[in-house]
Amino acid sequence: MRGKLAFAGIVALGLAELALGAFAATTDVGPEYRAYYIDRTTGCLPREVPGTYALGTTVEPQSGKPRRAFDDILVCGFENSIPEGTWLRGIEGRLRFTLDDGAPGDLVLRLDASARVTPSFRQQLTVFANGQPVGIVTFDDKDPHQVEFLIRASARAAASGRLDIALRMQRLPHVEPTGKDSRLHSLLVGSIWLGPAD
Amino acid sequence: MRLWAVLALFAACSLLLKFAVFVYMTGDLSPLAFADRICLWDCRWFGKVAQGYEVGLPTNRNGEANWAFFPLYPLLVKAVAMLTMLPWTAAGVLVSQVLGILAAGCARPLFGSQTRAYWLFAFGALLGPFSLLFSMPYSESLFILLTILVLVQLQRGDYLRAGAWAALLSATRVTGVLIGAAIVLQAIIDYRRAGGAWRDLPRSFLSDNRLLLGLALVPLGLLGYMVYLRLWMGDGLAFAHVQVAWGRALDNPFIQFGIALHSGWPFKAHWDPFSTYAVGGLVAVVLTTLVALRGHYAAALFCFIALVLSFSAGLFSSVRFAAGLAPLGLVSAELIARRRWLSWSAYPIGLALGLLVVAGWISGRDFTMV
Repeated sequence: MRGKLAFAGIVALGLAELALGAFAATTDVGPEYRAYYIDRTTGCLPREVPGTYALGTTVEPQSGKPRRAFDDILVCGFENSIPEGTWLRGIEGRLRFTLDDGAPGDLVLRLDASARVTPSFRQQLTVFANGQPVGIVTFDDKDPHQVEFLIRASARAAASGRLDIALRMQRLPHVEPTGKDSRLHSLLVGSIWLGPAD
Repeated sequence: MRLWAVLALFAACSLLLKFAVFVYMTGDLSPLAFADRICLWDCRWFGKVAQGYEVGLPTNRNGEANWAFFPLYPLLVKAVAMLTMLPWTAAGVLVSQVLGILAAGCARPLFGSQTRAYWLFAFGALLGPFSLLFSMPYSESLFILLTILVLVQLQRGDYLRAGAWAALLSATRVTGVLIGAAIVLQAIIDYRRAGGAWRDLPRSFLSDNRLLLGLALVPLGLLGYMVYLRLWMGDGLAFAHVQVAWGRALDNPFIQFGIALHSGWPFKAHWDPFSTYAVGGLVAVVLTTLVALRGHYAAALFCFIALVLSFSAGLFSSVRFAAGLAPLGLVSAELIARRRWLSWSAYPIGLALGLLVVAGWISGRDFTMV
């Protein structure tokens, strides 16, 4: 009798564990969490940043340089810095610039960057400003290049001083992995500059 | 009593020698600075767990969060820190060192009459190449102790106690719950050795309440953590999902193994991390095979599936993962102790390697134990 009671208790414990496991396997998370952590459909986990930036200054995301300037504008998509800059993990990265009312009309975004390319794959970068495409650049080789994008005043007219920049790569190249994370790398950014168009 | 005194002496020597390496390298005589200095990489995450699990989206660049780290070890350190008023890192060093003494002491029954092998194991654990695991605030110290306690209970045929220790093991690291498979296998082996027939096995197991309860206890630690994560932040599997933030994704472990070997090849005289991880993975596989060949089938099964799960996320940290699998250390000591000369030479070599690993760790340039 005692043995049967103990057995019933063990069965009850097992059932309770199954119920708890089933409950724990469900999720109640936001879309951004789901896309980044669970579905892995994006490498961009957005975070709130002030976007503090003085027009005409160069932001250098290299390790060893002051982190504050880049952290203030980095919304998502970039890895921890290395001496050469910061890698875009996946195919999308976002930056935010908060501009005061005195900012001039047309602006230029200038990037020093190099892309992950292979002999059979040329990488393409498309830049969006507040959701509007402002330019496409093709990288033919692995060398660093300075690329510029003209951002018309109209692109930020409706955003009341906020300029959200999205960098989108065509796709991840198929490369032999040489280290941790390297399969996810697409673009290495060495510096960022935003200023008035000449 | 004498055994525990000797182990305590080993542990004291271990800490003193590691501290001496630290003083030699930095010129700093502060024990608290030593504790802070060896708290690198995951240790800092354990410290963050002790402050509480993060809620909401992380604010760092890649979305790393402390959900990846199981709670039992950091909570134990936190309790000791509160009781002793020590800083978290110093309490972690103290806890890990005490757990090392307990692990070495509790492992004694696993060696039976192999005294030479046992002392080599105890010395290796506390002063050998991977003794840093018992001197720094990493959860491997608790994981090794609990694994040994499960194996000791399995050796005695006490599945209930084995399950109770396994419950704690499953709250320590993600691979802890896998020891449930070892308990099942050991129960089958014991049943067959006792002359049981295969056809009667299900009925025999279902009538063994101590075995059933033991098995039911195994996942409690993991389940408790999952339910906590589900209630606290909406995702009971956050500890697994957050691995993406470190660039880890579950893949075929054999493919991952191949990638690691390819990345590490050719193995260099001055090894880079990828060579180290590839060789570490290879050695772990060989040692697991040796555990099985020595007849420790349950322990070998645990190591095998723990390695498969670890490797499926890549071979990064393979050396530390392998060093954290107690049966691999047990079988290494058994094999080395078969030759007296080899056994005696293992002591100074193990000690020297242990100090080298500490020096590399303190310098921050060696990735062997990352």
